[in-house]
Amino acid sequence: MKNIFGVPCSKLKERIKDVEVNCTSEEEAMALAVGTWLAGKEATVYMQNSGLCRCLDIVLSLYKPYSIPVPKLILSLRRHPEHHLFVGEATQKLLDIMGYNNMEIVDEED
Amino acid sequence: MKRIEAIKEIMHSLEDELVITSTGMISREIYAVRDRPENFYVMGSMGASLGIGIGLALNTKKKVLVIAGDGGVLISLGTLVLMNRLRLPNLKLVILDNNCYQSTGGQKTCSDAVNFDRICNCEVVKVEVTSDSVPRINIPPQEITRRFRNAVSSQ
Repeated sequence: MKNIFGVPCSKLKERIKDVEVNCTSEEEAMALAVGTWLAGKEATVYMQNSGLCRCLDIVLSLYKPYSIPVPKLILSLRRHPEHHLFVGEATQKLLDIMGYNNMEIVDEED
Repeated sequence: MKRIEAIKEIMHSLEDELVITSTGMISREIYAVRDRPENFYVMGSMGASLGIGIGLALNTKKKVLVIAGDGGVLISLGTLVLMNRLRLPNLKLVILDNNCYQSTGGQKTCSDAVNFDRICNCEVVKVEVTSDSVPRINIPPQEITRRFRNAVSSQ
């Protein structure tokens, strides 16, 4: 187990093809990353930008007050079609709210 | 059985197990019964405890015990399915089920509509709705993190 946890996105399928077990939600992946860090190891999480919405609580109510560094994030940035539009426009704000700076963004345009 | 009696039974039987607690009165009662550096009290982020326990159990040889309430388990029920997929030999889950959100005024949960132990290998202890007066956890969260992480890395 290489401590890579997340929920897949079609734009990430090449990037995460070695992952054996996907999580049932993005905040669950973030919880597994807490346990990994408490054990002295590093975790990587992956998700689509819409999944960031689910991570707000665990980052703001657990990571921040407990001084736990956020794991490296592999994030697919979706803005199209329409159902991705609003989260696409809000993605940078969501990252700013969480103080997230440890990430690799896979842009749908690339 | 009163919940604090179930907690006493569990906590007094422990050796060096790492314990992840769940949001609400359970954390406070565990703190009151037997505070130790090997306890990680999850005071915010309801539902995160079992996921933390899984991440920990994947990365340590030590035994990991998650003590959760029915409300905290229901809010992230999918994590029970992940636990069942992974079958980690060093991870144990105990659910103290009082069928209510006690910390917020005793509103009923839906735990009477599910058998948690049909989803994954866990121990469900039915407990009474009780309101023992226990102190708040008087340790800053950063200190809970620091001492727990040291305890994980110690022999």
